[in-house]
Amino acid sequence: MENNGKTVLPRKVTEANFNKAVGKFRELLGEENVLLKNEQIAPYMKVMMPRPEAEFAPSAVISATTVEHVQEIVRVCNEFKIPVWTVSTGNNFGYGTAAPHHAGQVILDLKRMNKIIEVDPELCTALIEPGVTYQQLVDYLKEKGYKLWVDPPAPSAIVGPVGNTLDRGVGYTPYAEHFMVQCGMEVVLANGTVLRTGMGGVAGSNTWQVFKWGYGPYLDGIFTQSNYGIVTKMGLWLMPEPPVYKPFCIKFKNDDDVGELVDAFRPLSINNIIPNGVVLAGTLYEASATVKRSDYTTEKGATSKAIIQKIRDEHKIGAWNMYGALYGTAEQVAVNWKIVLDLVKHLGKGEIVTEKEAGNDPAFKYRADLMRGNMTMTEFGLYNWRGGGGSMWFAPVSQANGSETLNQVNLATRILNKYGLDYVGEFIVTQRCMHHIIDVLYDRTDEEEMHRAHDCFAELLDEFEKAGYGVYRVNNVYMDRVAKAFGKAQQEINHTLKRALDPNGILAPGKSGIDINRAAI
Amino acid sequence: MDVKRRLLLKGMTSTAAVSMVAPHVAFADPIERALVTLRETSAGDLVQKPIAAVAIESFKNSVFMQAICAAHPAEEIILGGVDFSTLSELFTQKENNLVGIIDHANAAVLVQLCRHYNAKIHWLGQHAIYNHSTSHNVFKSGDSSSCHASLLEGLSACEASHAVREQGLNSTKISGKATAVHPQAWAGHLALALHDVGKGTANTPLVLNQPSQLISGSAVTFLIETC
Repeated sequence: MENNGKTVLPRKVTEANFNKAVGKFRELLGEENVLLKNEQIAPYMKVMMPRPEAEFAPSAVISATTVEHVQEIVRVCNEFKIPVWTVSTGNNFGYGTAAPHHAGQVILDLKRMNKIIEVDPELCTALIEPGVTYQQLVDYLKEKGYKLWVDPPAPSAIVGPVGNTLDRGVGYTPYAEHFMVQCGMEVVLANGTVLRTGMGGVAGSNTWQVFKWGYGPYLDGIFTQSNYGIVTKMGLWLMPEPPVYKPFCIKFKNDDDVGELVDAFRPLSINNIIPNGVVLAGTLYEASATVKRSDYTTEKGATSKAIIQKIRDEHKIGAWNMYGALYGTAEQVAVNWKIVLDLVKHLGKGEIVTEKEAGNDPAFKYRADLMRGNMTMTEFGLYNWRGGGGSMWFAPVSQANGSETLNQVNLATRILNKYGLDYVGEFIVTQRCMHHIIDVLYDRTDEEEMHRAHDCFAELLDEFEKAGYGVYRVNNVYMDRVAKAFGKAQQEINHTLKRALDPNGILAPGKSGIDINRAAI
Repeated sequence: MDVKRRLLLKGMTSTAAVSMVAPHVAFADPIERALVTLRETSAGDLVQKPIAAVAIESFKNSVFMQAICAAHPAEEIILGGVDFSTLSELFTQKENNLVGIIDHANAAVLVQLCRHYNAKIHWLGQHAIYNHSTSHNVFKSGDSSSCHASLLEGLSACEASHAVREQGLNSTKISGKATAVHPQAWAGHLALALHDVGKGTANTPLVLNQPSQLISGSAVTFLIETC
């Protein structure tokens, strides 16, 4: 990025050396794939984090097409000590978007590495490049006539399996834990070596995408949420389309119902009666599909309980809205549906909504689409709830126990309201654990509110940590802070690995709090 | 998707035709007179192409869109919901530069598409409108510097207090309060300035031929050069 004609330079890199590196990038990738002007880089500068954009300004943006390009890029980066922040699609909104951890890094955008290398319709596997989006994969499966489903996170069409899996994202079908259904990686290491993990190391092997573990230490995990290599191919498993799919919602009226709900439905999740990620959506999360805060008030501050109740009443939204789905043959689904109905009857509360009752309800359609891997962008409605472009996912993990839920909701709501913000949250129950996903939405155009949101998020981290909770993922601003929460021993081993694999620290410094050129560790 | 498209033909409406030849037109509402402005723009690197005006449904009758439409864009596009397919088409058609006013949900998708298609963002304004104040966070490239000035000029003609923060490395903050003329004059000023970026001369007065709809909540304005 240019600053009055001058580029934002990487730390400790001279302008002359940076220009030499840019020259080599241009020679390698072509002029059109090396972006330096403000208006070219601006699409990488829109962040939702509560710090000024300048703190994340990249020095340049480059895009590669081949593995050989990536190998040569890391060679140039090592030569000139240029830090390179890799994104596949860069759309992890609320977790940092495409922005680097700090200003002065070159963004390597892998959007043009978007080949679907192989899909096996019998074994239900795929091998793809990082730039492949879920929409692209769905279109491909449709074109080939394969009866296979994908499992997108909520931004669906515009994000890709590789980026989301590497950040250990989750979806909403039975294949919701994306890293669990990942199988085999190709990684360009900082020294330019191309590593194929698992069975990919065996010459002539045809089991790279069907057997995860290979031989010896299992390596794939160290390339997720890390900066130890650049993943250029990834295998994943696809879900066979079931004969019958039955989405449903159960609405509960009271805030306190959430604990009872989790305890009641956990056994159905662990026993695979409800095999997908069961979602418990709070009122405002659910409302964002159809409602804007400004429809009810333009006053700043936290939304009052009276308004939240009004929204529930007017839009027929529960305090908690539980979404799940059944998959299988007609007989299997019928048996499992009876189990669900009996459970609700036993609970003595909850309004059951199926596709028939839901009609054209956009909130139900959105969830029904997600739970079968359809592309939908309804969740972007969250960005219109308060408006102003600020969003941060606060995502503590907890046991799938009812006693945890109410404590977490009350703690989060108290802190958010103290800072004039709303609790907009949901739980995703995946058998034994829950991702508690809270969107901290705020107005970035209002500097005072941006400061409040920053402090609010910090307090959420502090107070949840005191209660023994850690987050599974976080945006760039808090990566260092969260790394500390996981203890010195983990920080030390992360940095030991970094020094061994990337001695110059050129790959994504700061990612997950790992930065050998800055850390005291 | 509920997508409505309208092609606006030059000179289609008599009011618009008048505005092309007469810089001083009569206004039914004297308040709207304040929106007439002569703007100074400078030619820059922006590749000149026809303009497509883009809005979400609830902003289609805003001062911003009325201003753009008075300047005769090649096309007016109204988005329905979070309209990924229509937004994608704006880039694959590769015919128009884009000026518009949308919500944050569509803006998130739009900026992503800019990355995907290597489009250039010359202006990105994020605006929040409260009861008695507005706040603005703007990115501008060299070409669109005049738009920043136009926004400030427009804000000075509004009754609400305002704060403007400029993104980038030399970020600036400006705040102020001015006397009432039109509650959202800034949107009209800004729209015309965006329309005229890089054109060298721009003296098109704003003509409002119907009551404008106030922008509520928040909005995102943009000028994008497609590739």
